[in-house]
Amino acid sequence: MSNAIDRDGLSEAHLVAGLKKGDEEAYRTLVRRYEDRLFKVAFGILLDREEAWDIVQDVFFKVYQSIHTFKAQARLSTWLHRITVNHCLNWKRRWKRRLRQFHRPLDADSNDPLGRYPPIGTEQYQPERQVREKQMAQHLWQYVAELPEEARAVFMLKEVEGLSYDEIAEVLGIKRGTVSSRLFYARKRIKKALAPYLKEEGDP
Amino acid sequence: MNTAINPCDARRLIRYHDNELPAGERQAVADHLAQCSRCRRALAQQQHLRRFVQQAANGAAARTPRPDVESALLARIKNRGASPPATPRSWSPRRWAPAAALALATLVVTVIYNPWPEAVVSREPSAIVESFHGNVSTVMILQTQTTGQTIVWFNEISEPDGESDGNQSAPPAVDRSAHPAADRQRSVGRA
Repeated sequence: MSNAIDRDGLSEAHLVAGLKKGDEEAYRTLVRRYEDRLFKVAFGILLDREEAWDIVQDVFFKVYQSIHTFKAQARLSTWLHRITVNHCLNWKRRWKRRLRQFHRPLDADSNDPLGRYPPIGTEQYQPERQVREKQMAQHLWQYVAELPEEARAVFMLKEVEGLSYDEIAEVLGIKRGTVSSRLFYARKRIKKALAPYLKEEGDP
Repeated sequence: MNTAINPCDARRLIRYHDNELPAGERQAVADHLAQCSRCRRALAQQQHLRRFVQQAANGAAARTPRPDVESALLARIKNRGASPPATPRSWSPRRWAPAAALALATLVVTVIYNPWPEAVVSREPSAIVESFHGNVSTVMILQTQTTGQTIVWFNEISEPDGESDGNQSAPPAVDRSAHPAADRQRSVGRA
């Protein structure tokens, strides 16, 4: 278990000790430290924001229920990722059989309900670039959705969370070689789908 | 035997990008990149893809109405008790043998004297808040009266493609309330 001090000044060892004692502040720290990270992983697998937040809440409660089973030599983040991915995959398996025709467009925020566009006249206001990035994001999530779930989980854990092959293998309970091949496959598919955008970026 | 390595090997370049190569091989790829514009472009695309996926994921997080995860978690914990469940002792057959024997004996006695017990039905009536009927399933949303717990009830229509899990509900005409265990219920818990 890492003893590195995080931004909020609490080492992982102290955090886990606090969680095991049921210390309220430890649970607050846990949420603040990991909620965004776990959300991104959950969203990358489920592609639904509300469901992803539901999963994150369930994961934290699962931590409360199972923290006594956490082994000191493990990394807390690896454990959290494992719970998150398992919850997501179970969630999908459970629901896709029942509500297969339930469909929510990936671009649910197409009108940006929070209105987070940069103001006109500022440096950030670049309509063409924003439109291009938005189109690219739509394509990205569409093609991520078409990946097999296992490849999607590997892809998100690598690209968003930056986990090593060994860490991903531990989270998913698969071999390192399987991580490498799933990742290669996922990237190949995504890269092909986004080729027109990436070509511009790769051009000298 | 001379096993020459293809300097433009895509998988090796990916492992370089992922920082998964041993130091010597990493240096070899770095040297090759200095000379090969094609591989530099491929690497730039991988880096761009990563940046973009991260931005898209960050955007998804930023644009979502964020629930108060912290308060919700603490509230759930308080409902369950002040401290986490106690650390279980290590499993020992000797410790559990008497309990297992007792449980088995109880089960045998129960089966012998009461082989088909009536389904346990909650005495608390539930009110139907909403119901839908479609091609895929019937859905009812119910709410218990005293606890205010929300229950989502599904009755999936059997599919010919064999993808169903073999635990389908009976036709809707059957009174399912007498067999709650057979229903697909999901307690949402948002009173």
